[in-house]
Amino acid sequence: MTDVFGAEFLDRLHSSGAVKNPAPFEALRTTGFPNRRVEAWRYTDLASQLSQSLTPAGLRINQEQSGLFGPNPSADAVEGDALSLLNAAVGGEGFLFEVPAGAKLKPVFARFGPMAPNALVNATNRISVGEGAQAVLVERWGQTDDSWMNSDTAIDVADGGHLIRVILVEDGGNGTQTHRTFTALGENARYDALVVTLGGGLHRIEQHADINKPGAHAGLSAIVLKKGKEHSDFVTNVRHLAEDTTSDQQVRTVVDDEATAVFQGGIKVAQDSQRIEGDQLSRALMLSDRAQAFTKPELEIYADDVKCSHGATVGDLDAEALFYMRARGIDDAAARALLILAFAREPFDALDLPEQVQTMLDGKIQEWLGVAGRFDEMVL
Amino acid sequence: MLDIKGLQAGLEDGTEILKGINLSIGAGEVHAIMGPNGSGKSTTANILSGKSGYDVTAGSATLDGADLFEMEPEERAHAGLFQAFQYPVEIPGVQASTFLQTAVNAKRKVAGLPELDALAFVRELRAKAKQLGIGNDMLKRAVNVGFSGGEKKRFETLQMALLEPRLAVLDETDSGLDVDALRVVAEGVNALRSPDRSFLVITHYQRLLDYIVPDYVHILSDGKIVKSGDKSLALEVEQSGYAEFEAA
Repeated sequence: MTDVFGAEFLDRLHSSGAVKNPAPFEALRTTGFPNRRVEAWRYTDLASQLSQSLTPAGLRINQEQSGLFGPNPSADAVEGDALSLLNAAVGGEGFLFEVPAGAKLKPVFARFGPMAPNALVNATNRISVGEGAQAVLVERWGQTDDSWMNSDTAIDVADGGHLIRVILVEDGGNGTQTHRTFTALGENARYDALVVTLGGGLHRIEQHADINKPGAHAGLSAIVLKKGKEHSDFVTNVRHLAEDTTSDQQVRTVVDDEATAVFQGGIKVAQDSQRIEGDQLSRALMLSDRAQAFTKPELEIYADDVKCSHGATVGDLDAEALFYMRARGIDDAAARALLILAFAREPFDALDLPEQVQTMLDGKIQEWLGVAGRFDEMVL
Repeated sequence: MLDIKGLQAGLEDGTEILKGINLSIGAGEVHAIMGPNGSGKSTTANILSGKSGYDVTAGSATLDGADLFEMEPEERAHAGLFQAFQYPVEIPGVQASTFLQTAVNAKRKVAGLPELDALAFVRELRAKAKQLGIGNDMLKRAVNVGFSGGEKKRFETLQMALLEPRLAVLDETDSGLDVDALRVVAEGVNALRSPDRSFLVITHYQRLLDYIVPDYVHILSDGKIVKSGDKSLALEVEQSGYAEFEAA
């Protein structure tokens, strides 16, 4: 049994006394972590993460508005793979974010990080949006060292509820972030997620959404900006389990240097789910010959009355637009930055983001491009 | 101001287009180049501004004595060259006003002037936009995206007004414009005429030259200037067509 992938990592975890729930730990000890022969992990290698000696630590939560988050009382394991088992085994506390029925919240901002340096942080979170409630939640997950933050978040949006959720994953160090979300949608409910991933060593963000009732919509979009040797794997899995439902996935990727970005986009339509619209568009900009971008659309459609579109492009910046700007005296670097910024902003259109949230994200993108504050939208 | 001597150029695949162009434009002068399709009019404009895809095989072009062919496109702009494009490029996601501010400040920086902050820039932008009938809604939109043909040409003219070039090259500015739009654009151009600013107006039709009256007219045919004269030459072309010049 010692030859499963990550066995030594698990041994170290066990001997450190971090295991709180033996059942998921034993399950994980039997299966091991997924290696690259597992299709869903074909592009992402956990070897260097599993070779680390990290100390388990709790999740630090900084909320800008008080009283909105509480500890998650029902940290029962959610569906998921080995990383969910790891989370369940170590049993980290997470947050609970509840929006009462009918409530309409102003944007809520929260930051999440490790309690200790070079830590293994596990968290199980729950977000619950009541009937007809509306909320905008901005989560910022960040660290400055080699910590590994691993979380599962279960979301339910009740009938007529609408959750806009921005997940900004930003690392100053070489750390790892693996986060999975499992969302269930009621009748006419909407979940619009925008993942923005910057920096870090390895980020794998999974968004699973079950559209269980008619009239519901899931939007799972991402802005992926990677340079150096950074690695991102964005995974979506939308299941249309009811008729008259829609989904949209807008992924914009910019890779520079030797960075790698992966998008695995799943749309599944069950047999009796008629009148479905599912859109998926992945566009990647390659700024370096050594950068890599992989897009793997996975569509499984078992119903007849379905409109699903998917597109994937990989390319360089528009040469005509670059020349036009340079002919106006804008130097090559600034012209490129303007075009990349415009490209990275594209998923904003798919969400009705409050202005302060959009401005914050816009600032992050400009910072990443090294043009902080230079190209703020002008107020006329 | 602008001196073009013995300019020969073509496409990168070796196709010859310009076969020895000589042209001198003095300060404050307005020159028109007229010619049939395929004579090399747009190629001349594009080569001056540094568009890729062309090879200069012989000759020179200098602006105020500086060799244009030694400069990057943005350096040519900083030196005072401005091309109003026949087909302005749409740039989705780049706000027109941000684009204009970036261009103006890039030029100011090179000239050693302080950059304009948003407030100062917007004040200048508003004043110049108003003269061209350009409202805030257009400036909030992405560069040229969803602009009508007339709006695109007015936006080109606004860029010219803000960048205050030494030499403006207008490439088929009349194409796709109805008479009213043409009048607005021509008035904008005429307002920019000054003793230290020159224009090279490239057009197929004489019509534009009723509105922007040139000091000199040159007929371009098969990559060469075959005849030069004053504005009456344009009327001659209007009467008899280009055929007689092609035979030359």
